[in-house]
Amino acid sequence: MQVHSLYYAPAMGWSAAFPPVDGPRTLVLVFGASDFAERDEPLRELRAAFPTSIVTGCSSSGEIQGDRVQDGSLAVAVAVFEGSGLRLAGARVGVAEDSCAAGASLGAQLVAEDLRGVLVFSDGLSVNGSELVRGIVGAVGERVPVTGGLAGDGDRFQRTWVLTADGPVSGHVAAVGLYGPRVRFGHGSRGGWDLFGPERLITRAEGNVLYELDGKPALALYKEYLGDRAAGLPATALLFPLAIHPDEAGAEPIVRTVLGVDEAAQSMTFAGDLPTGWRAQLMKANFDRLIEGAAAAADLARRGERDDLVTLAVAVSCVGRRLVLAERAEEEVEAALEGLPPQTAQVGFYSYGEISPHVDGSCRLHNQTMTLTTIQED
Amino acid sequence: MEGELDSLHPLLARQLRRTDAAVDRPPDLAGWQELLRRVSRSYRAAEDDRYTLERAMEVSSGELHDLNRALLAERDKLHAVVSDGLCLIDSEGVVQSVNREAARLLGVRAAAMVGSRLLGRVRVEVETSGSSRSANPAIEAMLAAGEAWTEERAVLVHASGFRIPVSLALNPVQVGQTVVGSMVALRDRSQQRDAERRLLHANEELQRARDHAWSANEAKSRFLATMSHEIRTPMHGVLGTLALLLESSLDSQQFELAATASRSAERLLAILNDVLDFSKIEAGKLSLEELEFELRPEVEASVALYSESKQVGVDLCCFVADDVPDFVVGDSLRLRQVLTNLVGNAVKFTSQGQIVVRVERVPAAGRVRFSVEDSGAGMSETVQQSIFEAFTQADGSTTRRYGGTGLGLAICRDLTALMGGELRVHSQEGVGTTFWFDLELAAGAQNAASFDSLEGLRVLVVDDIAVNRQILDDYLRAWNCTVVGAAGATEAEAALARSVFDVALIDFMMPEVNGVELARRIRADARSKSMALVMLSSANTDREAARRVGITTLLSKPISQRALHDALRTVTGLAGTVERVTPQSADVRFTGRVLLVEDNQVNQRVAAAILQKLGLEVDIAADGADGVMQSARVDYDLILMDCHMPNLDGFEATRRIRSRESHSGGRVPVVAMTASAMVEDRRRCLEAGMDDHLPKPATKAAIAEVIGRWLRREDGGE
Repeated sequence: MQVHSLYYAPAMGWSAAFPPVDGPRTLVLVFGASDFAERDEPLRELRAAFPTSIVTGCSSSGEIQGDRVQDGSLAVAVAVFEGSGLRLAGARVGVAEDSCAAGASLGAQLVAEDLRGVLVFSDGLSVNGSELVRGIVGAVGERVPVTGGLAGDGDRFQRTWVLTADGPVSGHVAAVGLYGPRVRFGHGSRGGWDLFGPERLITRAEGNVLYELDGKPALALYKEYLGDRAAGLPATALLFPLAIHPDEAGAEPIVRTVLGVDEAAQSMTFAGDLPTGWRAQLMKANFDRLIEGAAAAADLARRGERDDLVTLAVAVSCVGRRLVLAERAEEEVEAALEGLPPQTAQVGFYSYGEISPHVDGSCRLHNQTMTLTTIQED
Repeated sequence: MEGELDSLHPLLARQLRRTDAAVDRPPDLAGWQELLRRVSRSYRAAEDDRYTLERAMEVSSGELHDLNRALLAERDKLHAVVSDGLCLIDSEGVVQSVNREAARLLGVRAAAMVGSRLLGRVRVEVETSGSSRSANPAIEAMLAAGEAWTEERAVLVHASGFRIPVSLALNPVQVGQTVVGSMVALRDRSQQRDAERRLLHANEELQRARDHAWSANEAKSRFLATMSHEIRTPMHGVLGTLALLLESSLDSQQFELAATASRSAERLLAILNDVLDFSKIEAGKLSLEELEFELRPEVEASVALYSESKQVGVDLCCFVADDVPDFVVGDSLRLRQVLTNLVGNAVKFTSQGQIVVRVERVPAAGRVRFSVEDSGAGMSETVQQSIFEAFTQADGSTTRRYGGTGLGLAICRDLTALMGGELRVHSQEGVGTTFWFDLELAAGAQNAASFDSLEGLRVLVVDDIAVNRQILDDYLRAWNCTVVGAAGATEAEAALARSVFDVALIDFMMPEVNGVELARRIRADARSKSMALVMLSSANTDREAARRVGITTLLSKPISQRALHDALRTVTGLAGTVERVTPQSADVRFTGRVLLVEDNQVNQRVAAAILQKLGLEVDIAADGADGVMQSARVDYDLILMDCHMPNLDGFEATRRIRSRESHSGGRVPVVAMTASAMVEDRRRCLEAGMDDHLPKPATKAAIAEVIGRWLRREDGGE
């Protein structure tokens, strides 16, 4: 396997010429600012250069290229496999309720004996990520790792896209299946947020829309905590992700991140479900732990990988982390890269939700994490 | 500063790298400006972060503070409601919190206790037989090991030497897997002792109260038994005397009066029984008889009972519809009890108009409806709702004006319900009241002696009360008579002018021209001279005046169907003379010698007279002991034994007789005479060795029947 990295910035154009490696065993991943949906010339150029390759990707809240974090750019990785198979699947998600069905459809398109892993890039606003993952896993089985993320839109939460054969499209989910015994598919995911404040009861929620905690409007609670920074909602709500867990001893918490707020309904929309009757607790950033988290994710992902092979690393980190880390966001990308095998090409994006197997092996939607996927070919 | 430059903040180091600069190599202008942008963003971000963290800390501190206060309040509440002393100590034995009771037991203020070592303040001793020793070292060891411990007989010894006996429990407190301290629970045993003493005292009080209640209850039972005995005894005298009077030669009016007196006495006795039964009804212990009885006489007797007591000017009528079965199966005594009660009420509250008792079939339901309608004072809705409750009367003044126990309607309601009906009331103030109930009464196997047809008899009915005319009309038409009704003298004379009648039934009490005056006028008229006259009389009828105008036959109101029939047959010559009712039992005679054991002299006389009339030789014993003695001397054919007697009662006397017989041989029949018809009493009689049972007051017929079971009849019949 060989990997080529390149990027595009409006001021300077493509960083390098497209490598002449088009073919069915070539995977082209591209992540970029959401406004490339309008000025889609570079995306067309890219697709034109790889007509028979698998080309996919999505909009982002920050592009990751190597150890750098950029805005308003396109980050691209071109991986050329020698003896492994690739397949691209797509599904539409009109409303969040369709998420599970869309996942099931994707899974059905990809499922096979030798399927070694699935990369998923989904619309970031109209999808219930946890339901999407449930659908895919239901179709491909628990033993196939599923990783990826929900597309981002900076800190705007207005429009996201997934790249398809017809160009950037909203309400779409793309999934790439990697096949064959030579594929090595690693993954790791870490948060690095601290729980704080009292534990609260989710007293009113529908799907991924939260209305009340402890019988009081959840939005009011967030505004209280944000103070002046409430003006920056919904983005600033990312400063306080919500850890939720079932109301039973020893239950593993899941982190949920805010996608939007509805002033009229006093509700907040999260990237995944908030079951009524679960417990919820606010979280806050701890800078050092965020960076350590990224390193730990790399540790997990390289486990089982060979250091002597070329590695494609797909980094999906949460927009919430970017918001907190700000200028220090690159530190986590550096930390991740440092933890990966030497010949690693890292590409990725800041997302509205990360997908990867949980510590217990079950695939989940994560929020507020750095999620790394490493792909090698023997 | 050299050192500082050697180890730049990693962020600044990266910012330099990104702008293509280093500590020893400044960037170009574009790089410089980029660097400034990045540094400024960092400052701003740091500021935002600081704000966010401070804000979060402030808000969450507030929240936690509130939560903490709520928790403390909750804990205080818990501590307050827990009567035991609670003291939380950490693993070092230092007090974390104490509740008020614990502070009291430890003899210090709660605030002073917190933060100090528990065992430094107080010595714990364990009471063993004789000596007490300090348990402090042992407790220290257990606290350190996080062990649980309970000691029921501990003593807290204060620094002052003051001792409080307590029970003490140590319970390790865990957070997760770690023991962080112990909860010490203290219960004051001196208080416990107080409580025990109080409990003991309360128990004694309860015992006394219970004993008192028992004896009160027993007194009540004794009172009821005595009352029943004391009232029944003279009542038996009255009844027996009346029975003898009825045996003597009486004319029809005397007979009817004596019979009414006898019936009234029986009713009184029945009412007495009912009062006694009320407790049984209340206790749900009353069971009903299922016997065949003749319905008409029962109903008519219940109504006739009040012919004397009703107020002048009130007409008391009774109508039993023709299609109601003659004999029905049920409890006649209870039915009569309900009816007499209802009629009695109506009589009490009606000062003019009429009281009509009707018994009719309810065709649809196949039931028989009993109704008692009066034109009395009536009741308001409110009163109607409460009248069926025991001890309730229409208003407080009722008792004063009319007397009564207030039990009547409650008994009626309960009895009706027991019989399968529901007693209901409809009333309107100033208009009147109707009580009614429907019963499912199975028709009996027997039929009453049928009425002879009076076909063709032409009868003129003169009564100002329409209901009365209607009732008579119904009865007479059932016997195929031709009936013409007249509401008064004028109408009667007009009818007589038009037609010829065989009989005229004339009500005595009519406005304007009364019955006697009308009879006089009729007798004076040649056309109707041969017509028979029957006067419908009330208590206030001037019988002498009636006789003077040639009326020999008077029918007491309310008119019984049978009496009406018989009177018509007599006056029209269809029967011989006026029949005198004499019990058939008068003709039965027995042979034998009987011992009557009875303490009451009146009862002795009555019973002896009846027994002699039955042809028996009678000896009298004045009490149980006398009876035992006499029965040892003479071989009696039968002993009649009163149950309740002073000195030796009937039960014991019988037991002694039986005991003697077990040696001497033989067995004389002993028949108990007892006032109560309760099952328990019968059982008691049999247990004492008696053979039969004769309820008091014993009528001649009843005595003849029982004797007939044990002795030969004179004519040789059994």
